[in-house]
Amino acid sequence: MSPQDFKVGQGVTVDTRPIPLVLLTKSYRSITLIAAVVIFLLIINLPTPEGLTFTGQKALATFALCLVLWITRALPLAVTSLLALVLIPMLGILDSTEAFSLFGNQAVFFILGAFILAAAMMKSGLSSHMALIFLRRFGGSPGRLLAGVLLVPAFLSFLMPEHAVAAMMFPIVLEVAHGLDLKPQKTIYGQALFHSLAWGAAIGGVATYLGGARNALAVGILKQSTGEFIGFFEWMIAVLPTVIVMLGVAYLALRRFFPSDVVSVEKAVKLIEEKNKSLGKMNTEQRLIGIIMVFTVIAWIFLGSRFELASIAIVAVVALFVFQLIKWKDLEEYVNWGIILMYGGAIALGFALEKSGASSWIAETTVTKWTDSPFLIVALIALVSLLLTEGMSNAAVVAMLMPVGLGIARQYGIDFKIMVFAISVPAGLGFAFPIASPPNAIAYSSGFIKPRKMFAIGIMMDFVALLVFLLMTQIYWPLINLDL
Amino acid sequence: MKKKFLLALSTTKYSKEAIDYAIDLTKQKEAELKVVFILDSDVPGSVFEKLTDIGFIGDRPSMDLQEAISNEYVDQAKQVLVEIKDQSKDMGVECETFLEEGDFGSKCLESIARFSADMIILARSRRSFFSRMFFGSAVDSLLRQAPCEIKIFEEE
Amino acid sequence: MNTDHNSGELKLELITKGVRLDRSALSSKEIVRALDIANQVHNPLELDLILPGKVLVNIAIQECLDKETNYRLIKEAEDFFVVNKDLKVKVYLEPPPKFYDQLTTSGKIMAKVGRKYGDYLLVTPTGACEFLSGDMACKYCDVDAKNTDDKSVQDVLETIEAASAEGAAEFVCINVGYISSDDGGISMVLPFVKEIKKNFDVLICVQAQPPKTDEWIDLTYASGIDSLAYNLEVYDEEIFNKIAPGKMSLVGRDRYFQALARAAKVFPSGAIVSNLIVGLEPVESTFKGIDILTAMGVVPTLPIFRPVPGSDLESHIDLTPESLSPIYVHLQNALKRNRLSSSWISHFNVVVNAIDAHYFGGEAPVKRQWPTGLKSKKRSKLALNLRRRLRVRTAEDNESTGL
Repeated sequence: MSPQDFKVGQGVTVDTRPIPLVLLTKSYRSITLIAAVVIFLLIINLPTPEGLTFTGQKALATFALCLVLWITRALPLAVTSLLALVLIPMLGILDSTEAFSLFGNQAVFFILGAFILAAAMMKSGLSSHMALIFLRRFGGSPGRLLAGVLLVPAFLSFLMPEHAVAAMMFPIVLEVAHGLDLKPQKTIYGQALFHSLAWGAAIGGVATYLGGARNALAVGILKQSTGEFIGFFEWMIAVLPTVIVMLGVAYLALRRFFPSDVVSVEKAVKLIEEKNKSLGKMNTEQRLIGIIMVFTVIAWIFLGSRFELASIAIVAVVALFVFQLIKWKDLEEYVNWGIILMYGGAIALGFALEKSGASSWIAETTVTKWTDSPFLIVALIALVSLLLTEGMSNAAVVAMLMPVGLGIARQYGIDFKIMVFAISVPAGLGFAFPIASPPNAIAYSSGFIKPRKMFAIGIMMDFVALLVFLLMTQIYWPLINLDL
Repeated sequence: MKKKFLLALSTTKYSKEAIDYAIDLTKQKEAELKVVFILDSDVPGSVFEKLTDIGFIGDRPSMDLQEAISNEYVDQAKQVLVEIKDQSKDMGVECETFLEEGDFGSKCLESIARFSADMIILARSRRSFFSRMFFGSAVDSLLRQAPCEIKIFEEE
Repeated sequence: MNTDHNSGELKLELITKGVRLDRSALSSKEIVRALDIANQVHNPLELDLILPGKVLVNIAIQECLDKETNYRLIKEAEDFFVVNKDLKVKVYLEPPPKFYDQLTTSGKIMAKVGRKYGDYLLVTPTGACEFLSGDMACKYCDVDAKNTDDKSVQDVLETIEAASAEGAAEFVCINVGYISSDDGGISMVLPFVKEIKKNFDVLICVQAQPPKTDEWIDLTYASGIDSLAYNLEVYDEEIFNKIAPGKMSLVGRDRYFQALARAAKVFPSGAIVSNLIVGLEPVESTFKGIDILTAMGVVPTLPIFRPVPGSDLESHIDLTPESLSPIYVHLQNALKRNRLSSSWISHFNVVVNAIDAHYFGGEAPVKRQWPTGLKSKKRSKLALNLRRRLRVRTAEDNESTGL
């Protein structure tokens, strides 16, 4: 197509930023790609270190290449995973049948199923309906309403991805803010409401596999690499107390750092009532989807070990189509299909590192030199995960740390499951930056949140979260046979 | 001929002091006040660049969310303009308000041209020296280019 | 007889007062040919003179305006001179280009398809401007609606080819009158741009009305157009309303500023141009217009208005060279202050350029440059193309790379 065939509406724009910035943007990708390839070739051509096989070295080189690409996003995340999938057999790290079969990993299909279920809830309006029904019960005072805006997204994030929850609740919280005449950045209560939304969604998102695909990804890597598995209910049991405590901490922090400058929330309560009324009663479609969701969760809890979580998820998806509760076209609009590619590749890479001994080697040559204490190691890993998630995609943090973490766990004789929790729970608890998590970014975009305050209080919340998590490992987990 | 003063605000450049100054000065000089609120059209888009998590919700909910955010910015801007208009009315000052979208610096120059402004009053967002140096500053560019007097207030 | 003079002042004198053709000049083969062509295309006779110091001037010879003038163009031996009772200055008369006489394959005389002005070839591919119907015509406009017709892409290509063969088309300027569409007429121009770019290595400038939305401006740049003119004509709002009723009601004065501001950000420095006709408003107003346009990144071109007897503007402001010269100095200073290059318009000989300002007390002349300021024409075009490649983003570039 020649430039003169461009048409308005085709998204043709002119970048008017200073030329150095334009050049940087344009060349960033090329430079990053070249750097990634250079790093790959460098690692592969170094003399093989003691304790590491050449296969392991190749696995490490592939891992480093993918890491750079994931962090810099020079290629789409899913394409990086595809690259891993292709390099692994080409370099002889795994045979191709094994490598490609990892793409059909159960975790991937579980995530796909969970996303389709979430899409059905969003498309039918069930999620908004539920949000309003629950929120309705939290009127009465500014404190109660704030608690509602914290707890409702938290609860919904047990059932749906946290970013979907935040996106769905954003207009509701906005309307509440408008209803109370709250001024962006000026009214403290407005800031509190949006922090509440972000924190609630993020904290709730670590409670189950459904709240964030990173959890299922971590477990997928665990299963593939070690054969071990964490059941749906098992995960909840291990993490829920942390979630409950963190929700309590979050509420206290909100009350402490955002003292309410609003006396009455009557207008907001009225607004929520009116919205609820306007939605009317739940229709048949919503009820059926709700029923399917309930049965699915029950099946995951009680039948997960017998029938596999992925199978249950797919059966639920099929049920949605059998009862015509969703169309394929809706999935195209509501689901991001690249997740299959992303997670498949990440799992294959994790397995390759494990099988080649590379992850053990990393553990041996790095972390083991620093300390003997399993607790300190777990604390360190959790801290790294927490810090990384402030600047990176949660899934990329998990994909990056899991292979290394499993190697470390093997070295120290730490239960692999503990390592999974130590990586994926903190990876979902970034509070300081908009980029730390989608709920943060969504809440920040409202204009109500002050960036400096978000950072200051967020950093404090980060460290409290780490502390709570570590306390749980010492106080609660031994009670459920998770011993460090 | 009456003098014309232009007050320029944006999502990231807002100052109550600037607003009060503009209205007071207009009253003092018996001039006309034009108020332009400039929506930075990049802000909603930049939110989505930050949403890096894989498996982010699909296109449709993303679009809905982006629309909600854009609408929110427009509503906030309109609210500010209504408040300024009310404040001007109370002071007996003639005031016209406009909502624009685009680059702050360009829109200011364009507005100076449209209204033949004799002075532009604006707020500057708080940023470090290095940030201004590296990323540039719309207000600093305006200082060099504007063909009329400029009065700058620091953002609250 | 004084042969020593200021070429800049002489240029202004010739433009404001006109020149009569002496019998000796009338019988010269160059002017005979020029007259013949003018008759064929039903336009006034235009002469391209080069004054000492390589000052370019294009003068339309119109008897009704020139009967009072003291200036005469005479020919002695092989040389032309501009003379009055005090002055005799040798000038070079550029003969009408050879391609003017030629016909396109569709039978159109090429002089009607494209006119040479300095290094520019001006093409008006459409029929009459829609302002000319009803009461919307701009009061200063002298376009004869009956004398315009559509030119095809092929007509234009053949004319450019013929013009290029004699080095008469470094820049092609496509002029579009008002078309009542959202795009300001750009869609109509694009097929011409496409074929011109495909076949010739020229820079393209378009004169049009501002489109309704800024997306069209981005598209204009993305599609290969190198320079753009939205002609405001006057800065004063009241005078604008009076003399350009079509522009006021169908486009809006505000829209000119909005579009010029966007265009100045999108296009390279100096590539956005807007006419401010000198003589249609008070000088102070022209000064203000210059200041504001240059602050926005727009280069004002300042053609000088000559009131036509019997027209609405017959008794308009009559400017003398003395009152005009500070305007060009002011322009030069404003361009310098805002770091704007006049390299695009310096190749256009219909207007007095900022580079001529030194004749009126401005700074010493800068050589006529290629756009971008590079010495080589080839490098200049390469730089412009590179800039376009870097800055234009399509939907694929803009899509999220989340996956």
